[in-house]
Amino acid sequence: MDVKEFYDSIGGNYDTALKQLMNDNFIQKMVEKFLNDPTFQNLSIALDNDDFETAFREAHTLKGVALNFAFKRLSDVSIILTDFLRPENSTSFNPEKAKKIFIDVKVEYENVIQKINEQIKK
Amino acid sequence: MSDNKKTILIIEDNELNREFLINILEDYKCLEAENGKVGLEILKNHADDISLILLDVQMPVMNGYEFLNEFSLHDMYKSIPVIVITGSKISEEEKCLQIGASDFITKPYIPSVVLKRVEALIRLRESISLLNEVKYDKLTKTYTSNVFTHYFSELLKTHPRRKYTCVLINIKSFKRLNDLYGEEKCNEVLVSIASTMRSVFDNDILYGRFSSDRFAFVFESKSHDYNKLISKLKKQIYDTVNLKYFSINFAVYENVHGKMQVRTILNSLYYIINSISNQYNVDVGCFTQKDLEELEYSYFVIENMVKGLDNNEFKVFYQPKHNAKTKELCGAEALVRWNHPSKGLIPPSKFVSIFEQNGFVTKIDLFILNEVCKNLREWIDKGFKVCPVSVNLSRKDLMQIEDFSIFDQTLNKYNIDKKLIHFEITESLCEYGDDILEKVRIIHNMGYLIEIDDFGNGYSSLGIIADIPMDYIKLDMTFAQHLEKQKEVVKTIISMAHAMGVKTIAEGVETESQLSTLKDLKCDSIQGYYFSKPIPHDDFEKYIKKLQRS
Repeated sequence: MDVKEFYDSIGGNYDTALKQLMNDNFIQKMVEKFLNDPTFQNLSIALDNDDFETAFREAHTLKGVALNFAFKRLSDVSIILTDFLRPENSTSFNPEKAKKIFIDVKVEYENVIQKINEQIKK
Repeated sequence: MSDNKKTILIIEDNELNREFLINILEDYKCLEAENGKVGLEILKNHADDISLILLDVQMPVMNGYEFLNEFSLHDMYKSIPVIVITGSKISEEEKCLQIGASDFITKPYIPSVVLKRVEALIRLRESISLLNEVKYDKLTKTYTSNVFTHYFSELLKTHPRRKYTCVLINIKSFKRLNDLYGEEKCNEVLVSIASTMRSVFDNDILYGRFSSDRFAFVFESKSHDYNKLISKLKKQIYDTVNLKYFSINFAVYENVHGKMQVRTILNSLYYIINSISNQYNVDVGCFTQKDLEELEYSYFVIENMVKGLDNNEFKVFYQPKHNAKTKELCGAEALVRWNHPSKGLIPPSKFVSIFEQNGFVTKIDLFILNEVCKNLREWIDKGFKVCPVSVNLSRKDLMQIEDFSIFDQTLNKYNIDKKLIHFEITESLCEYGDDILEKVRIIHNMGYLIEIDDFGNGYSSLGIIADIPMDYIKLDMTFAQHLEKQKEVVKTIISMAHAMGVKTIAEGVETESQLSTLKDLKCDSIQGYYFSKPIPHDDFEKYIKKLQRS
């Protein structure tokens, strides 16, 4: 896997990743594990069920994971979704808008997954 | 914990996030919990080992707030700092701070930031917990044992490759000194020992006070010669403390190192002090490989004795006694053997003295009595002519057994006549005063015959025959071994015994010529390898069966 090329292809920040995760080997090992991380699926199911409490927690977790990987674009959209789902904001909560923001997260997430798979095949 | 790494508990639901932290905390041992509930479970068993907790706030099942609420209820967790992992929301941080978090980190994890915060908190926690303990002993102004132990283990941890020598100083019979001279005088003694240590020791020696009458010091082995240090210290201490009956001894453990536990080192030194304390001409003892093996063996014995008794690992062996004149079987001594499933036969020398010390000997002796009665009943029922069997009673038995009717009860259980059971007590008993002798009298008055074991083994004079109720004396086996030289002594003992109506048994008889000499000296019975070594139940059964046929 060309880690730098992969980061560039998903709008991630390779330099930050290196600072946080310290070396390419560990980055690569963790990136491959990301394929099996259940957070996104849990988030998706929670939103389908209109379970916004769980959705908030999963979005929050996805945000944290994305930040730790320095997947910049994915973390940006996850932050927006997390803040939107935050329970303190529940009075003005708009479920339809939440699902719209989720589409942005889904696009970024699927791109990351696709690029990981492409890199693995190489 | 066997390694010296400090332990951090990570409570975080996402596996990847935990792994990011573990990667950063590579110098720590990490325990993982996927939610607060699991975290509390781990704390229950490992609280003492955990130096710090990293806690995520947003988790299913039990989140960070709920965890902190529960956590703060336990006093014993109070000293464990918690770092909360937050989403950098001021409100979140405030809430956690109110319920007991110590610090925060946010995602993404920046290795240098995480490490700095973790290190700082652990260090802070350690220095606080040390301050909480009293650092110096009030009287002698040396470190307390806790502080000494702490610094000692830090020393070993910081320099794992260096070798250190640890010495324990013990004041002999300190309680007796207290009785003789009073507390104030004895405190002065402690103070002057401490000040002697201060003046003799260089700065590179760590020392402190242990319990009421002990001090310890430790130094790098290559920087001092412990013999020189000890003799210098000894001389100065005896020069300053000029008190009759005051004496000290030393236990030395050379070349201890970072892979060893301070507790173990100190326990080993206590062991040495105990083993040299009753030798009046030895005042320095060194812990050796052999001591280590013996210490471990004694732990093994102590840890396995109860199970051994429950599992029937203890066996009775019988050593026959024969009439010196007619050579007929006239009795047997019951001896205990321990057959351990993995260690095999454990020699009595490895466990009897330990059992005597910790009192377990009474359980064993009563067990032996029961086995003997059971076996006798079995043989009587099979139609054999049986002989009296003597059972050993230790000094501890006489002190611990409150009601000797337990003997009668055991015999009655198997319907055994009192004539068939003798009790052997060792001659050294006479050293222990009237109350013990009174107990022997009680047993004798109950109708049991008493044999005095190891007679002539350094303690007794013939005079004790008058004091202790007895029916037999067993001549110590050293008499049989040096019979030619000691012939006159043996003759005197035997005739004196006979004059008082006491019969004699010679132990350790191995040869025909020993037998014939003893017969000539009018010794009544013979025990020893000449006839038979101690043999197990089945062999002894064959033994009595064979004798009856012939």
